[in-house]
Amino acid sequence: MAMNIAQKVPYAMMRLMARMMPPCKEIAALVSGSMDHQLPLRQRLSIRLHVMMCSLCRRYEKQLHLLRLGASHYAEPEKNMMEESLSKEARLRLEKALADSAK
Amino acid sequence: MNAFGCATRSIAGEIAFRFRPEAIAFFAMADKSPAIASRMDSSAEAASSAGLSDPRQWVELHGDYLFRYALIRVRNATMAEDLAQETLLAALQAKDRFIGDCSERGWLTGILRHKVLDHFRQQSQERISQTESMPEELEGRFDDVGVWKHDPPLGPNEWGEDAAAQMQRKEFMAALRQCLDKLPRRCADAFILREMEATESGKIQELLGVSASNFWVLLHRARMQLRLCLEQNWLKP
Repeated sequence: MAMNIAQKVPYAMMRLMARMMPPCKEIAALVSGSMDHQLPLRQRLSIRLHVMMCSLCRRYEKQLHLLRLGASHYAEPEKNMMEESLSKEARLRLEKALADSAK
Repeated sequence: MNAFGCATRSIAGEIAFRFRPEAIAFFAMADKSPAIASRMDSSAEAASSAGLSDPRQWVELHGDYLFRYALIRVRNATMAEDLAQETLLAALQAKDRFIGDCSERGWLTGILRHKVLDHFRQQSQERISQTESMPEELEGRFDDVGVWKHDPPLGPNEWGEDAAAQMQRKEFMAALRQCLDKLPRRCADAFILREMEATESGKIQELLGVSASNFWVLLHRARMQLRLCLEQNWLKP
């Protein structure tokens, strides 16, 4: 697939920038790290400066936050809509264990 | 006793708590309720703080909930059943110590949560520690200088305005589950503990027995691979 000029120019710019500053690949790792601990100021600035200019990394950062949101929904059985239930055997076993133990 | 504390804050609340203000504003659109933090305790059968229901009803009231809570995290039905059983038995032993500072379900979930964390700890001791390297599928999305490849474009695709709302749907839950299953085990463990249990990073490193730097690599890889997998399997054009 041939690139059109609207893709070529920002790409050429990002390649040029990558020679002077951390490139997308490093920014992706820093963005992930920033979600778990406080990064040094220098690295936080690298991220902000980079995402200001790079729409793909801006999107990447936004999507990692979305992933976190989605994972928090997934984590709650009440929101998860999972269909699995305790098997009949497990249910009986559990009820028996509770009854025995309660004696 | 620590192991029998309440799960007072819901996971969503815990996570929203960690967001920066702009991210909270962003996600508020997805979750209309202002009181996300109180979700877990507001379930219909939440016992009044006066006391617990008859333990003989626990399986009926909470069995599936506890089983699913465990299954989401340990990803093994037999293990999840065992954890649900251990939880109910431990609760029975400790029921006189329930002081009614949270709902019955919140209390049971608190016990289960400790059992789930113990499960991760035990498993990490049984496994040989290995460092995960980035697979070509992820590494190859960047060019020689580390910029997202443009031809063909291999950077992140647009997810659409309503992605956050779509994440409440069954299709997303199913896709995330499949994508988690494709992750290397330790990556999935790190991701689940961090993003679903909202466990503090230092504690996860200790549970999984990994160094801090290995832990960041595991999470980075998990996120990168999950993002890509979701893009390919959840939001198919």
